[in-house]
Parts: sequence; structure tokens; C-alpha cells
Amino acid sequence: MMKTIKDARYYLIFVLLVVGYYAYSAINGIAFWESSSVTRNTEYNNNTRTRGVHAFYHK
Amino acid sequence: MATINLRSFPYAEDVACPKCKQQITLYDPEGSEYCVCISCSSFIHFTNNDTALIQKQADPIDQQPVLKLGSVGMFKGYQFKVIGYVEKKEQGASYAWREYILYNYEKGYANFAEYDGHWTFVAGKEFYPALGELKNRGWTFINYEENEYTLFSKYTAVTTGLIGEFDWDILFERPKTTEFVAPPQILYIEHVPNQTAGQFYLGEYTEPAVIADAFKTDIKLFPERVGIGANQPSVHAKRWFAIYKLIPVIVLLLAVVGFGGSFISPEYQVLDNSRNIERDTTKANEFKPYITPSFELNKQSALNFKIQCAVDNNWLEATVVLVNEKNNQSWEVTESIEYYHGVEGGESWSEGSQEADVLLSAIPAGKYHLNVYPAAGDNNIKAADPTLNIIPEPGIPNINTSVGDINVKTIHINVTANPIIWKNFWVSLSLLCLYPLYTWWRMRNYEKRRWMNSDYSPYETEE
Repeated sequence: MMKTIKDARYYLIFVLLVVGYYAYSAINGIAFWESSSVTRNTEYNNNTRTRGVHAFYHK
Repeated sequence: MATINLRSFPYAEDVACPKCKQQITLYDPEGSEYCVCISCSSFIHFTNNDTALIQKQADPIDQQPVLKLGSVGMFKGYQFKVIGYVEKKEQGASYAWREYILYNYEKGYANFAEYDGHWTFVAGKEFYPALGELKNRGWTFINYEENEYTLFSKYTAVTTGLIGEFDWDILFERPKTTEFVAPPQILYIEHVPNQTAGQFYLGEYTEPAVIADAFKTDIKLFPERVGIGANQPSVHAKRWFAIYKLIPVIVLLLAVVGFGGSFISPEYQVLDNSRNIERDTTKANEFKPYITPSFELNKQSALNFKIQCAVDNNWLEATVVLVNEKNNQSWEVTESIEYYHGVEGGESWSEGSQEADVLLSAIPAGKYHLNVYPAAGDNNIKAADPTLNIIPEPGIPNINTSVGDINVKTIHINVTANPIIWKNFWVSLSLLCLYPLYTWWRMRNYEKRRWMNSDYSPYETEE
């Protein structure tokens, strides 16, 4: 078993990174790919980030 | 027979060649029955009364041996002395290799076989007693000490040149040899004509640097490696065999982590809203927008929207805007729902769906509502003349056989927080499978190249 772990050590580090991020995503509601049609607004409460190009409708 | 069961190498003795009187050094004078004169290449036989007779004339060697006769090295825990060098080839073929005869004062003979720069340490049952249990039954596989050895080649070996001393008549010996490989090991069965049973030998691939180090020889003198040796170990196989055992554990780990995440952040419904919508008579295809009741997210979550509308031979497009009521941050999604069906040529058909799913990632905690802006197809679609035979194009309703619904009535929107995101699972699993697949592919390519030198390749030969 130790030999297997030694031979696959770099892969195991990669596995831990992927599984770790998968666990973090599962707990924090992060989808690796959300629906492609989603657009976030560019301005709210004087925030002037420039992401997105569409017009938005607000309450 | 080679002198064995000693505590050290016997003293070397010089003998004179009966033909040219050249002094020949014997490193195992008691055990060696044959030797070759380095000057005139006479193959000399020492009879029982130690009389040297020229038995045959040997061909001179083509290449100078890398390991000098008389050199001593510690290898696999044994002291070996190089006492012979033999050049061989396959009968009826051009494949040629070299063997260095190694003498150990406890066990006897072993050898290094070198082919195209690939070195194998070969020894018989004196070093590997379990070989004595094996029988030659003409298998294509042999199981030996937890390894399965696969038939690789069959040939008759011919000696083409030699120097040094030997305890058997090697010059005109033509053993029929069968090789079975389980890299880095290789099993040889040598069957000498007129002998009843084949002799088993076990070989192990050896790095030239190890041999050079053991026999204190300059590595630069060693021949360059060409191609892949029959029993050369594959680094890709080593990686693959280490990794593939872990794959079930990794899948299980992912599943456990996924279910653990669902346990810590369970899925729950935040909105289940049905709304009768009204046509906006001032605009074509549009309905009056509406706002859903507010809902609260306690912590950052993914949101899954399921939008349903009972369209029938019609389409509906809904722009849904998720609005944070505290700071007006918003997420806008436009989804189309289309559902068409009919009968054509006596067969019923349908396409599209009456619902759509939308996944939003990492929506911060807060109070939200939805602004919904629906639009739908013409509510005055009428049946076409059934006598017309219009072939519908993809995505266009077949007006020959179908009638659009007159009024789209209700949009149902269901929003759940912390949905199980299977995409995350499959993406993670795919990522984790990439390297094992790559390793398997490299291993397979390596093995295919190895087996190109064999008549018994399990891989399909490419034309």
C-alpha cells in the first residue's frame, strides 16, 4: 500500500486538490458551470464593475 | 561443473594454448572444462587428466566486451567474476546479442545478457530454487511467484564468437529457447537437443548504470539503448498499476464528500410560485411583467430555477431577474420553453419541453425576489388548410397538422437552494480520470511498441 501511495503521490496531491475544491463548492453553493444565459448586472448601489452588457430591470 | 560452495574465488591459473602457446588465465581452473585462446581462438577442452586438447576452432568475437574478463563485482548480494563472453544470434535471423558469463564461488554460473543496450541478469535454479518446480508444458502463459509470464518469442540460439572459460561445451550448442515476459522479469526455457527436460532461467532487467557501478566500469563504454527491451519495465505501467487501484476509492470519496455537503447544506425550497399571466395588448407577443413574493437565503447558496408553462404548439420566453432587495444586485436569465407536437404521415411526433431549468452559482445570503418578463408566440395561430402538404422545417411548427394554443395561462416557477449539483460531481470525476486515462494510453502505446518485436503480440498489428 505504501508503495502504491509513493508511486502515485503526485496524482494523490491532485486528487486532494480536486476533492477539496469539490467539497468547498458543495458547502458554499458553487456550481462549476452555471447556466450560460445568466448575466449579472454591472451597477448596483454605486458599484461600477463593468461585467455584462445587457440592460437590467429592477424593482 | 563450476566449482561451488567455496568461501572465496579460487586462485587463477595460467595454462598454455596447445596451438599457439599463448598463456590463458583460468579463473576457475578446477571447474572450467573448456576455454578459448584469446590469441588463436582455439576452443580448448580439458580432459579428465587435465590435458588440453584443441576441440574446435571458434570464430573471433565481433565486439570488445564492456566487462573485462576477470573483473569482479558485487551484484544482488553475490560476488561475481566475469569469466566468459559469448556472442550469439538467432538461427535464421539477424538478431544478435551478447552474454557475459558470471561466476560465483557459492552458486556457480549466472550471466548478463545484452541486446540493443538492454541488460538482463539471468540465473538458473541455483539462484532461484523455485525454478526447479516449473515444468515445460508448452504453455503460452507461465505463473511463477505471483507473476504471469506471457510467451514472447521462440528461437534457436547460435554461438557466433566467444572468449573466456566455460564448464560446458558451448560452441556448437544450439538450444531451442522460449521466452516468457513479465517486465522487468523474463523466463527462459532452454531445451538442448538430446536432453529430456528444458532448463528454466529467470532474467531481470538491469540498468546499465547499476552494472557499471557494480563492476567499476565506465558507463560511457556501454552500448546505447535502442528501442524497448522485451522485459524493460514501463514507467507508465508502474504509474497505471499504482493509480487504477485508487480509482474506486476516489469515486467513493467523491460520493461521500458530495453527500456530506448535502448534509451540511441541505436542499430546501425557497419559492414555489404560480402566476396567471395577461397579454400586454400594446406589444406583440409580450405579457405584463410581474414580481414574485420575496424569499430569504440564509447563507451563500446555489439556486435552481424550474420554470414550467403548459405551452402547446407554442413557445414562451421568460426573462427572469433575481434581485437582491438590499443592494439591487441582480442576475438575469432568459429561458425559452417550446413544445410542439402533431401527426405527420400517420405518425405522431413531438419536440421540445414544457419546462426549463436554470442553475445559478454562489448567490450571496440576503432577501430576494424575481422580476418576470414573459413573452409568447402568437395566440392567434390557426389551423392551416389540411389539404396543403407543407413539409415543416426544424424548429418551425408544422402548421399543416397542428394548432397553437390560444392562451398561455400560467407560469410556474420553483426555486430551490443548495440543489445537488451533479455537474460538479461529474466534472470532478472527469478531471480525476484524465490522468489515469493518459497513463493507461501511454502504457498501452509502450506495450504495443514492446510487442512489435514479438511474433506473439496480443496487440493488433498495424499495416
